[in-house]
Amino acid sequence: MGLRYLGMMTRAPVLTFTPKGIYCPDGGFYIDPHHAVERALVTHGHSDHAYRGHKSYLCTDLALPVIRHRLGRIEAEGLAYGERRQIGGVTVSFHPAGHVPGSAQIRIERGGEVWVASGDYKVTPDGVCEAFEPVACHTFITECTFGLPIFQWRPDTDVLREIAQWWGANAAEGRVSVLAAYSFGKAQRLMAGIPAQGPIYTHGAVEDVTEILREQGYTLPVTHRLGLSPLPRDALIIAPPNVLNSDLLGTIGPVSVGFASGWMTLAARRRGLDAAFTLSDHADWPGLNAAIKATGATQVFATHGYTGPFRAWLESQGYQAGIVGPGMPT
Amino acid sequence: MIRFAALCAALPRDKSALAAYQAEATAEDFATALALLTGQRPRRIAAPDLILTWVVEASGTPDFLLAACMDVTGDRAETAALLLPAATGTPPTLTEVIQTLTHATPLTARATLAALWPRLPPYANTILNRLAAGSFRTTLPKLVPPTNQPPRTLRAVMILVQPAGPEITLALWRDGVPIPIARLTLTLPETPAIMAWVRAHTLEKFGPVRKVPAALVFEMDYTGTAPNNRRKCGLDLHHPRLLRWLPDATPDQADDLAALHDPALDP
Repeated sequence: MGLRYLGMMTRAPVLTFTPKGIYCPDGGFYIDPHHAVERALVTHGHSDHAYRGHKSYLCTDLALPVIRHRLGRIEAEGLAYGERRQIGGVTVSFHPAGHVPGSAQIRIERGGEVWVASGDYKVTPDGVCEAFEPVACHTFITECTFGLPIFQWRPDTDVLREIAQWWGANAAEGRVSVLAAYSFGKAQRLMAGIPAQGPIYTHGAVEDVTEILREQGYTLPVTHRLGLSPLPRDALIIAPPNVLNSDLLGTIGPVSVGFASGWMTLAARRRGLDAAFTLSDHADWPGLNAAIKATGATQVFATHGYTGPFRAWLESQGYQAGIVGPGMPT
Repeated sequence: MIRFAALCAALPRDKSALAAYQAEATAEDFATALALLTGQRPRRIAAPDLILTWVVEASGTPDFLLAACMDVTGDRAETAALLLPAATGTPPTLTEVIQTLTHATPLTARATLAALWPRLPPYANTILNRLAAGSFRTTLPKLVPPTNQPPRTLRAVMILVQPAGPEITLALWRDGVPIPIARLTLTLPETPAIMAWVRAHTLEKFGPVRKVPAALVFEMDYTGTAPNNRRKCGLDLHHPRLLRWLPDATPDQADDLAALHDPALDP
């Protein structure tokens, strides 16, 4: 591949970085564009990746139901993981990113040259979504939300046990446990992974997505939609983070409020919460470095996060490194 | 030691945390905790910079990454704790930690900390580093200056935003420059509109923080102040609260920093 690839280097890059997002000139599509475009390839259903207003969407078949739920009537198509699709002068395929159910890295191949755009990813399995798979490539576009060495995750089982202990202690003292977590991905990972100490109640935003994922065949425990039945004191409520600013907390009696997010590793982010649990759907520092190495890529572009220091780190490790931003990769 | 670290995190806002700690901790640890929280602390065995240097050397962290980490945490004890490898050993009790630190000297400090660090999670190592560096400041709430003053209202201008939260940093003017005074969670009905404005007007991103033009004005209140030389404004505000967005106010209508130091307001 090396010699053929060298020949390709003289051609225009497979992906370019434009104000609308990552663009493939030979395929005429964008990846996770943040402005309305004709043709969007979307890595997953979180709102900062699956934007409204594109003329057509292509994602994994597993990501499609949640994307349709969030965006309403859209022209969209789903591909199975690994299924190849010719678009213009390139071949694209989607590969598990381990971030949330249906999430993907997108592989783009043009005449033997391979680029992969990671989307958001984590490398450790979470028990609900499809596990991350490294994809060999020449150029890797990596997120770096937690791209600093202060971000190192503990094993899931330890964190989930801690959450169960907090929930159990609250139940024993007659306090309802309220756990703030993103409604798609993190919420389901929590309900599936926390050893149960009582019934689980869900905010409507969480339950809507949970029902969709259940219908798709993801194995998720029984949950109760908040507000439809009386709330026992040993309940755990899983709700999106904005619930912390809502009137809900004032209406359910004594509560303990916890937050599950990678940001909870920072003391400043834990302030004001009754409990904080470091649990992320993004790769930590060792995870990012391992994932990049596993691709075998020699050229790496950083996006979403601490891009400046992360790019400098990659350079110090011998990669040809850049940042995703308006302008052409060189 | 782990429970004590949790107590330190909870104490500033939850006075019942001490009773909960007493119920869980041994009598010996509870007595040690009370001593620490009332000002009887072990002598400094190493400066905060030195502790951070030891961790940076052991982890091989280059300077540019260390600088980026410090920008995120703003705290040497916390940065050092988070750069350490994951814990593997049995956690020490609080009393064991304090006795170990008391018997340590500047000459044995590095070996002492290197033996304790692998036994504790990062948030407990943050407290350990502060105790070793003589920078541990947590006190019992009753020792904190009263905050029963009526709230005072300010008009302040938004200069930084962390979309996660979201949290906004508000500032007052000094010589035409906005000086940050408080970071507050954005909990207003107009939050979506304000965040849309932020996305459209971001000047620069520093990690999770977006810098925006000093244009949107908010009304906030607080119950008092305490001097803090580590803040650019020289003060910590007690109980700052976001009241409302003032969509019609122009940035020059935000208060001057002098309003915080007004002797008529600060008896």
